[in-house]
Amino acid sequence: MTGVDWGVFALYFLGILGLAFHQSRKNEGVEGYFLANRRMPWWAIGLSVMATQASAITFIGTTGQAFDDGMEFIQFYLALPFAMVVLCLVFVPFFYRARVYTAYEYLERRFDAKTRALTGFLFLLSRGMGAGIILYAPAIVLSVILGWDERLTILVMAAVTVAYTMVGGITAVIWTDVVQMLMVFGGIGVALLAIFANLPEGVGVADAVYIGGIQGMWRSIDLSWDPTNTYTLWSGLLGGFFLFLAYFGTDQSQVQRYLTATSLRDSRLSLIFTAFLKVPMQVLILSIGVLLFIFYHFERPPLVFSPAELAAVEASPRAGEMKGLAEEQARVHAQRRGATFQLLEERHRGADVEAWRETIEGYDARLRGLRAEAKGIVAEVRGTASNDVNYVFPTYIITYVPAGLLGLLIAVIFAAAMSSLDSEITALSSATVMDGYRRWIRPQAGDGHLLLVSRLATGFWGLFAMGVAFYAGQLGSLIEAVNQIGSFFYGSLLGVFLLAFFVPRATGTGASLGLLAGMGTVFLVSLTTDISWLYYNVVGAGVVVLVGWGMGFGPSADGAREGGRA
Amino acid sequence: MSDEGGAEVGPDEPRWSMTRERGRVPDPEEAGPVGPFPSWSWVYGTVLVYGVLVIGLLTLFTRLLDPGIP
Repeated sequence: MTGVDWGVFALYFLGILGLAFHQSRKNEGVEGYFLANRRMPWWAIGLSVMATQASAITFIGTTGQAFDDGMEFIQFYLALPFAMVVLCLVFVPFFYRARVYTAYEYLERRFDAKTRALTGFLFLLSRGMGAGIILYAPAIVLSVILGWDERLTILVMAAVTVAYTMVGGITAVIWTDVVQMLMVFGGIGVALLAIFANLPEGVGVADAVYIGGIQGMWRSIDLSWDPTNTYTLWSGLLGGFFLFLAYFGTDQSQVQRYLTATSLRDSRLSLIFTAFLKVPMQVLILSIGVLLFIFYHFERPPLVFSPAELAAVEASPRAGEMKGLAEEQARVHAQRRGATFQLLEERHRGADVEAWRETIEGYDARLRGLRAEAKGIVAEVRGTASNDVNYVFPTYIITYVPAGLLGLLIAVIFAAAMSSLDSEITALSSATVMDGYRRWIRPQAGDGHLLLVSRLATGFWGLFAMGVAFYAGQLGSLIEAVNQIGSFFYGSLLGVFLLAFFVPRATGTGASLGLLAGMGTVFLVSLTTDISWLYYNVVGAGVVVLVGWGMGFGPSADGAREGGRA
Repeated sequence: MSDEGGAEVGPDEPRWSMTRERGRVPDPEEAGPVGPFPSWSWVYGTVLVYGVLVIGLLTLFTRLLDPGIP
């Protein structure tokens, strides 16, 4: 990094801190701290909703995934617009009109205290872990780029984020999210332009797109019905629909956002805003990964991008084997490079390029095989799955992006991480204080006392996330890790809310037992079948609804229902 | 208040499930135009059409750019 990069980076940190502390003056009591006194504009909430979901993992993990597998991951997001409509019609009105602080508070009003306690606890457990992973992702970047210790990086980033979140609460979080999300949009544009600018002379945008196409990298829709195939249109529409309903409808980090709106109308508009922007944004982010794949036709990529993984193998008895693979990769890459130029030349002349296409496909298959072998060696040497996909984008930007823009892209990765982390720890803090402390320990606590406890809870969750981040390095592809953790809980949590909304006979006991049964079933399904993890949400929600509905016919159901609404 | 009222639900009784939504009077917040749209139904309909269009465009995109697909 040059001085200019450091300047851009420092400017980002100072700007965010200044904005957050300025906004923190608007807080009034605990309602101001957690709900911004319900006066946020819809567009700011909409950007914050997107910023919360799009973490640094989105930038690092998704681009790496597209580099290896192409655009197929986009299918995961295709159900989002449909889920948003259901959320606006069903979930948002219930939460907004109930004037609750958390989604789980609503469940006590509908069912009973134990349902609220159980769902709140599960949220704290899953999102506490998720916050740690969110924090870990940019630490990888800096460990590659600056040679910083990962733990020091985690510490610095968490300290800044926790500081402004503790002081400013949700108001500071949403306004910093707005700036951070705009930076992410800018970063996507800069990254795409930088890749196009770095293509060799004579290779245009149309050529790059064509090369990706002949190798199936733009393949966005897979219509196969195989349930073990992780990303198909059907897993995306069905599994993704349930996952997004669960994430945006039951996860406090999202529910808290639209509870800050000035009206129900604005709450809904914030989600509609997300419904329109999210898929195009993901298309662009995945395109960065595909374009990196194309770019590396002309520049030789490392066989293994992660310096740490490579160093581990080089220090092991398998070093010679890895060296042999790297030499083979260099040879095949040179052949593919030559063939690619030949193909483009023939194409520009209007000649038939079918033979060249098949030749390139052959080289590409060999290169993929070599990379898979190398990752296999890494996994065997380190005893854990390789997480090399997360290093593809960072390696590119430090090697090929010019000074100034490099600092900006690093700041963007930090912005993405911090905009998610601040939302998570505010949500964790609100669930801890409102569903735990105020509900069970100090129901009569005054506003000033609750505000102090809320700030302390925010600090605690920041520390917890840091602890998890220190051990997150063993989790493979980060984007999948976060979503998989969520999938064990989300579907079942969604089931509880569906019971609450649609099954009048459902009781708190039925909902709680259903929740446990749903999670147990998802765990069993994950152990005994190979179905895509996207379907776990469907399974979890289905089991909860069935169990909860069935128990509504039990002998004590009527009494429980009456008690639950008292 | 905008979130209360109706045949089955008393004016001061909040609704905690969809069953209690039946028979309530229309909410003023749900009525009237929403920006350029005449009503919320139009907003939701537009989002649904948008979702289908995105899938259609990506399918077309896949077919056009991938010569490996028959």
